[in-house]
Amino acid sequence: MSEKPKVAFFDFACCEGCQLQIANLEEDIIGLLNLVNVVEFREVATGKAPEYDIAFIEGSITRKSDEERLKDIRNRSKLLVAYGQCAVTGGINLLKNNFGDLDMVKRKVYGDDSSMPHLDTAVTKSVGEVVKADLAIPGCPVNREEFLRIVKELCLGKIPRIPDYPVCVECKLKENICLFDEGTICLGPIARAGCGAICPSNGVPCDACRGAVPNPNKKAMHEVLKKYNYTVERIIREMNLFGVNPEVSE
Amino acid sequence: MDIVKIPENDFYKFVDKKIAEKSSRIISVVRKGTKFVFDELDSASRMCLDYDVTILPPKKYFQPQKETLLRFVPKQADSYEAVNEFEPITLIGVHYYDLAAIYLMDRAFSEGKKDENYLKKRNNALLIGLYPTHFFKYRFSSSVIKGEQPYKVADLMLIHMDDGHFALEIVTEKGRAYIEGAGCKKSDYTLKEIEDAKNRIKDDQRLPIPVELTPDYLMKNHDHPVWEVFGEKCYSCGSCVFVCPTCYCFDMKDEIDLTLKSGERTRNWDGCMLENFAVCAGGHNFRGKRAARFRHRIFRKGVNLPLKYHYWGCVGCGRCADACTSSIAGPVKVFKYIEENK
Amino acid sequence: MIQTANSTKHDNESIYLPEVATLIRKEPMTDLDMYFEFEMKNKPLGHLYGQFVELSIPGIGEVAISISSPPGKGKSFEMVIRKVGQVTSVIHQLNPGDSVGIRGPFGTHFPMEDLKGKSLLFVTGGQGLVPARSAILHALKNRGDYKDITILFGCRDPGQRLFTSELKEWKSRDDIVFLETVDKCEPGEWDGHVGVITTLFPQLKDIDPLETHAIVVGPPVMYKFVIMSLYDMEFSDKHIIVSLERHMKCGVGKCGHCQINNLYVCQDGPVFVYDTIKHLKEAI
Repeated sequence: MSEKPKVAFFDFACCEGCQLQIANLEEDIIGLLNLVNVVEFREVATGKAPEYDIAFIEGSITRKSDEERLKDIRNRSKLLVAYGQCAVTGGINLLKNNFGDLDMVKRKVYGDDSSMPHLDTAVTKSVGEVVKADLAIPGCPVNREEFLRIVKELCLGKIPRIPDYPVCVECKLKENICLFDEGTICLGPIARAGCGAICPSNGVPCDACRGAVPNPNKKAMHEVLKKYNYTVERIIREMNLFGVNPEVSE
Repeated sequence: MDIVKIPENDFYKFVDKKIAEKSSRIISVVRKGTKFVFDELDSASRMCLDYDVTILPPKKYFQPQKETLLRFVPKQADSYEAVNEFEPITLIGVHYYDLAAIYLMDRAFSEGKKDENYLKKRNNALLIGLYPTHFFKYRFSSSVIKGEQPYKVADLMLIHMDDGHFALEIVTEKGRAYIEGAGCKKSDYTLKEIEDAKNRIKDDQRLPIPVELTPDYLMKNHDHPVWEVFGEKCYSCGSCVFVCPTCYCFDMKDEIDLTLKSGERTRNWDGCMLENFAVCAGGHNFRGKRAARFRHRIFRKGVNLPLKYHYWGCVGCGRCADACTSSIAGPVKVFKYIEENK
Repeated sequence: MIQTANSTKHDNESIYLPEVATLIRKEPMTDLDMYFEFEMKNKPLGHLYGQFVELSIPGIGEVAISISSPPGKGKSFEMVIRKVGQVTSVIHQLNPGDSVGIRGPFGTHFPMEDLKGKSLLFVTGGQGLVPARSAILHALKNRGDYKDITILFGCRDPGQRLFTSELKEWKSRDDIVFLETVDKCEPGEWDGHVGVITTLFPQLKDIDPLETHAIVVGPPVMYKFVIMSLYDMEFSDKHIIVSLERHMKCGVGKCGHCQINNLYVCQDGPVFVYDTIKHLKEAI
């Protein structure tokens, strides 16, 4: 792209934590703005544009009206990037789908207010389930360095790649003590890396917020649970947080 | 080989003096929570020479997790320039098996095409070895290392004696020059006392067959069920190879500055146990199965490197066995399984 | 020995430092394959038949690409590059005058000198024609140096045929045998042979396995079946030469990606006489 690409940021059902990561890029925000022309970013600036070179979509799609809004953005975007786990898989919002009866879920969460029209809800979908996403940047929230790398690569005409190996790799590179050795259960062995193992590096077990690696080994997970005396129910609970399907296997 | 002795306290004082001199970075073993790591010292008081094993081997100083090989202006091929960053370092307290591993690394990076990015770092390092004073349950070095192997790279060897002294074997002239002024006295230990001190810590584990037989042995067991049995429990997480002192596989990546005006080609640790390590441009994965990857790793240690270098490709440090959450990575366990399931 | 910390040396001994080459010509060949002619900036590449280079674009990355032209074109050399990934898709966008980085040439080569006076049977599948072409063009140019020359080429469908004008010329020559096939085709799209490459073997007449060396280059799945067919013709392992594809990342026998047992395909290969790798179970 010879001119600065026109970039827009949109949010759907999410905590807006990913766009906060972008807004908080500190000194790099200047560099980013030298690289791209941000034409729409509700949290940061006013302004609208008819079309975009790159649209970054945050959040999952949980309402019919959101599907229409997303399709409209897609039609006006050359490249559409789902960023953050809510957009990539549905993220934490997927929890809702576990209960089947969405009216019950709504009553449980909102009580008497649940019938208010703005609380209208449907099954959680990822961005890719509604429109074609050209690229997905996983994570809850997205990793700033990875986000910047991807913007740089897109500007250079390079197809960005997301790591496909487990978080254990990054723990080893950082010489972390394995949390299993510390008596904790950690999803690192099946979770997609790219976060720099930020949670285990700070003593917090991995929740697989970037989803699972492409081919996680369920059998190994069972072995390890046995070895460390954990139940399958416990691990499924951990995996459910970010909707990592424990049945995924070779 | 000359042997001298120095009281432990004096050795620590000497290390402090070397830190103050700033003629090289002084690196030794320090505590990290319940474990140990190699790290740069700002004071000898942090140094902990009574350790079982470090999480990562000292290879990280010669082949860092990430290092720059080239600098460039993106998309301008005439802008490439080679980068080689190195500085003098002194490594203190490297267990003898890690020295044996450095010897294998040296061969890999110096034979054939010389890799100056490794060799410059290596040639600017002074290595002070150490015989372990602490038991480690997965260690089996004594059954796989030849006695002379550590001495091919060590400059000095520390042996912890019972009387509060280190005996110091002076292996190279570089080592001799280094300890000048440390206040070492001539050793009055008998050879037996030295040997006993070197072998004070007995390994709990042994390779169940003699190392020189492993190439034929493994070739014969190429299709043994062990690879499937162990492979199906493998996460392909690469922990075993990242912590391995004789693994040096790498990937190269281009990174670009936010201005898009400059960038670097970096070398990064990679591992044959990761699922996509052997994928080709066309998408074919030449080791797509966990069992095949698991076998490749053991064959590399027990067949390929021994045939090439006449030394076993694993130094028995036990780090892989320790790092593996599935408890399958340790070579002793693999060989035992083959032995028990003939 | 004292140096300041973080001393940086620009050091031309680096085995990772590329030379510079300039793109002088490119032409599309198939929907994914593009022909390129590059010219080295300083000195000729100095390659031999079937060798490869590490081609790079700064900021994008480096990939192993085989050289498709025989030596002897001065500073220029040819390649056919398939758009399959991060680097190759950017290479496809290059324009004449753009520069690339080149390391190499690397690896073993087809022993065209040693094969003088022998008959040659080239068995090439898909992209395998690209490295084999350097040997084929050499043999055709020096036709008198070799006895019978037979070339087999197979690809997935007619749209995947490479070097179509050269294939046409080879077909018209009466001093060689050239047979071609496609795995599959749409009705009316192709009037030649249809079937995998081994289905061409029954058409081969008068091949003396003692006098002939087979040069086999193709996709991974092809080797096993072609070697079986060559065995049926009583070829010995010493008369079968293969070029193997692997992920050759560094080209200098260090990074481990291309390893088959104790061999680094980037250094010990990619060209192997089959009897030297037959015992390696991961090779074919």
